[in-house]
Amino acid sequence: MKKNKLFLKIFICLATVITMAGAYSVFNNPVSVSSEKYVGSEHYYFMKADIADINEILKDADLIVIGQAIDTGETVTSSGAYASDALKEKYREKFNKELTSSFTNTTFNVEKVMYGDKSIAESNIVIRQYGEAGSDIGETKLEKNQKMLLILKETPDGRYKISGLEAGAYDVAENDKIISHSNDTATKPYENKSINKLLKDIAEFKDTTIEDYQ
Amino acid sequence: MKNKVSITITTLLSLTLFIGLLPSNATYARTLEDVTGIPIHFAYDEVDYNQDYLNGNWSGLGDNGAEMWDTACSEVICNEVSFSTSNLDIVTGDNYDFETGVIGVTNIFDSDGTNFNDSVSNFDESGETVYASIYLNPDMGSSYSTTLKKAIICHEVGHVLGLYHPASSSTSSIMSSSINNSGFKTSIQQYDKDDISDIY
Repeated sequence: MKKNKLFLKIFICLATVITMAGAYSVFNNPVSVSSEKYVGSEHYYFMKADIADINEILKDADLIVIGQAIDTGETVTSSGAYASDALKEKYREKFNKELTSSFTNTTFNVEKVMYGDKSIAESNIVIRQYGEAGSDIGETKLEKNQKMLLILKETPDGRYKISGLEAGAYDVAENDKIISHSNDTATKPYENKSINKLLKDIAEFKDTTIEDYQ
Repeated sequence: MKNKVSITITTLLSLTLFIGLLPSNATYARTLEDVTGIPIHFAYDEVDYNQDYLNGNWSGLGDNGAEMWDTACSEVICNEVSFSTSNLDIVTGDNYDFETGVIGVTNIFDSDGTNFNDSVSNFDESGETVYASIYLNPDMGSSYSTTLKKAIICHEVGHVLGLYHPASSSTSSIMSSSINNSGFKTSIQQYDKDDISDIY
């Protein structure tokens, strides 16, 4: 009986120490616990304003598709964008070369075109994203074989980029609910809701008819 | 019986709080150095900036944004100099294609001219920045107060100095990634000063 009491006392002492350590960790180490979504563009040297309304990204959209990435993307280097001719000259003089930019090109198989050129259905397009392949810095990269809805803008070289960075990218779950890749206010009304809610708003903004996705 | 109940309750409580000690991949905070292993810092003792090409909504605000650091942190010295001698150019991005919602972009360059924003993997692993440029979106800012615009420039200069966005959007900081984050402040916070002290 005495042994049991001693065991209980030791156990309670140990449990109290662990409990206090756990509580200390939770309350004094704010960097270790966060329920926030990882958004690649937030880790770029960008300063952003919240995209408050979905129409801000829809106005630039040329193509809205459902499909999936069929590769893990490839890093490509292209000419960098100078802010002005004066900076272009200065960069050349300073580094004796031209500015370059790295992007990730991912092949995306289009299952269905919800808005835009219908002939693209069942073919492959190339999505260009900021940052290098294998890194989510720049934009959260498309994941191979993940079914997605993408709101896209055509680039001058015939590829596509996601409108509004991650705000135009949504995972499509098996129950046809969508999960946004962004933290922007514009995407919150669609978070974990039926894909058809977003399609209905797209149809209304673009003044067109879009069938429900099944 | 009483003992068993006490042990069960104590065990459950301990386990629940012990989970707080364990890092989870899905939620663990990430800093720039955590992600890249690169300790970004400005190579010179002084930030010599120029704002000759800062126009429109942003005109003339470069000095306020840069010198906020000079005033708040004894480790940072900022001077306005001519365009030919500057190591930081604060400009309006007239030829730059800004994405929706992007107000400003900071480009930091290592000694080979590699831009950290464009190729993290090729950036000098010493993290030394020898030149930087800040592009402000000419189509944004018209509805912003002067205080906010200065804070945005100050935020971008913070990147030049090697500061990153806080892992949580609720952390009080001028370095918060969006002006709409609950933690975004228009003045330099203790969190920011501590980060500067860590770097310099």
